Amino acid sequence: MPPSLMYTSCLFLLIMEIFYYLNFVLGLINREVKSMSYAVEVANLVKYFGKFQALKGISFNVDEGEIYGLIGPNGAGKTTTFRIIVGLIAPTSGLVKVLGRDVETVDIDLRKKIAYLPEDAGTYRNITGYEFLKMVAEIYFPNDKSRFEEALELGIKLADLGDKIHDKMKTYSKGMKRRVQVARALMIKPKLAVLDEPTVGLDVIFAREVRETIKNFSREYGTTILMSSHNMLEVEGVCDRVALIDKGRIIAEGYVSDLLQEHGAKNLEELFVMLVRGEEE
Amino acid sequence: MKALIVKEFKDLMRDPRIWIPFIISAIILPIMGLVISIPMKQAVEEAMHEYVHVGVVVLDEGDEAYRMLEYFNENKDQFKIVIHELSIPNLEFKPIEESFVRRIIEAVEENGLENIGMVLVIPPDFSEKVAKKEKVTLGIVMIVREISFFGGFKSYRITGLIDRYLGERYLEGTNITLSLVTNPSVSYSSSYIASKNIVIFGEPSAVLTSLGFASFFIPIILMIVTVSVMQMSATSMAVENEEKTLETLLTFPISRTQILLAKLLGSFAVSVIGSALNVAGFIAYMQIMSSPGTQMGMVSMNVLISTIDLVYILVSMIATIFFTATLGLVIGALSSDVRIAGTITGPLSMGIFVPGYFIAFMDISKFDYLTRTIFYALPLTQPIIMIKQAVVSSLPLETPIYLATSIAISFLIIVITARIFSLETLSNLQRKLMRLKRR
Repeated sequence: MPPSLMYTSCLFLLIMEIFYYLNFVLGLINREVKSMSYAVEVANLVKYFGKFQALKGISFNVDEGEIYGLIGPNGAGKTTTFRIIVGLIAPTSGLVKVLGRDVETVDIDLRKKIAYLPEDAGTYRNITGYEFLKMVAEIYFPNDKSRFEEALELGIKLADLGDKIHDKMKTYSKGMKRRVQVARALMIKPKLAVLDEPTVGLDVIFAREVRETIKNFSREYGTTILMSSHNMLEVEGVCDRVALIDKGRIIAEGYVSDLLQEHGAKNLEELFVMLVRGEEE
Repeated sequence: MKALIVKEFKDLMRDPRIWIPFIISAIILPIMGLVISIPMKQAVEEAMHEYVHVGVVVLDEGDEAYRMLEYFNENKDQFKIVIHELSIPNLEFKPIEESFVRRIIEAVEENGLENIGMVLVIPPDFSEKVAKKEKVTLGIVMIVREISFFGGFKSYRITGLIDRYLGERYLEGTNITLSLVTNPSVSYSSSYIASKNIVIFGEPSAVLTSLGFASFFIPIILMIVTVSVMQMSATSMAVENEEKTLETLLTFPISRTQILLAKLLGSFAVSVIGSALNVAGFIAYMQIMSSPGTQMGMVSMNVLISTIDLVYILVSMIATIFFTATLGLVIGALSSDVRIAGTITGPLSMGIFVPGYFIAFMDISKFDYLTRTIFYALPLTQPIIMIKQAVVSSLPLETPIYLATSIAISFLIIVITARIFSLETLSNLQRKLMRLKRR
């Protein structure tokens, strides 16, 4: 090999090496920078209902633009956590910050940036899907016609019900109602969307469509999604990071791949069982 | 807020559970009125215009009875009466003995006179008493073939004709007419309302009817409206709990007071339509039930009550309606479903008008100043006491303050409700209410 070619190859490898390490370091920096601007910050959150302690000091952070999953069985404390985050109920103690603001001071301006989809969100029986989405757009953008129209258009697109959007919602199937609700939550392009069990009660195809909608929406508009599910397998495909919650405590938290690798589990369900059994022993 | 009011209005207006009771209550009262008045009018019509077949048993020893029957027969088309003479040998005139009645019935059946509705028995001393111009005793046996409230009209027609015949007969040879004896005077009435220094011409009964209408019917109409408004707002709020839409609503970027006001105004608008139907039904019922003969003239309200007092009363009634709507809203918010809301509003809607009716029947001049002030300030008693006072005199100078107090009470309830109107407080209160209900 001529020395000039050898030197050129060595130089190329050196550049590649530098590039690789630079990329790694930048990635770390990026993560560090992202952690400085959390969309949701929860620290030592405790909630009592009478004598019952629903949350026993949970802590987690959600980065801006991230899809974060809170997963655990029914009654683990997911809904209570979400209700505190959106300001529906007050925490007993602990710190909760949403978009940099203390949750105790959630006001109308902040509420405009947050969308919440409750697990068992109902629909108005005698209102059409279109009228419902129009009402939501009017509430969020009362004095901005173009944003109102944009939101309504997006809502109709996300709901994807065709002509049925003009039917009364009492005629909708459970899946159709849920799609309208998901559309309602996302159409306003919130900074933070808190979706409690967005696919609950849906059949496989509808659930998949809703998951895809959420994923694509977050990518397209940079919306932070905080979602919950008791179906741990479905979360794997949607969320960047997850927190496993059980009996009011977080038992594991991190990137899905890291968690699986760390505990040698095939999937989140197996990981959850391993962790719960480990704690019991 | 406008979007929420429109949603509320549409959701309620399109719900058959809401508008069917309104339509039913609007129709049921006139139907009740028709059910009662149609047979009544029919019976009156029959009694007035249809031929009445009368069996007559003449026991009279003179010829006066036959003269009377001849008179009836001569004028049978005018009086719409057909006489069927019956002969019952050895019948003794004992009109209050059962054997007497049974013999007459046997005679009717033997003669095959199935179209006879009554039998007139003219006593043996009829001619003698007519000659002496004394009061005569007649026997009348009604044959009841079907049950009707108004079957008695036919007998009135016969006795009326007999009275007319005998009246004219007794006045023969004098220059006095029967109409002079029966209506010897004509009155031109007027009433002076001392407290208001006004004179009203016409029947005194018209003035009394108007006073009665103001004191009793207006509170009834007010009760119909307020009960329906309360039920409506309670239902609309309870539906949010039942259908699990409240949680979403509370996260929208609008204040809780605005949510409550939107619910209040939306359900208020629907109830106004429903109440208008109810009141129309009530008025139709009253119209149907009052036959032209018995209807008394009404004195215009603004003759009795000054315009400014009428405005005050109207404002007070609206304030009361808002107050009950607010109560309904609180009940609905505390009820986890529509059924519980209905269980609470039902008896409550009756109970809240007890103070109002207490005032309607009480002499308000006997209340001391403090009691009167309290009744003037409370939304549930205010319009009733105002109407009473305005009818007999005029409203006190402090009325605007009383109105402001009543409206302030309603707004205070909305503000207090908005403060407790959080998912957590409502859930706690609902749980406590359920525990109380289970006990």
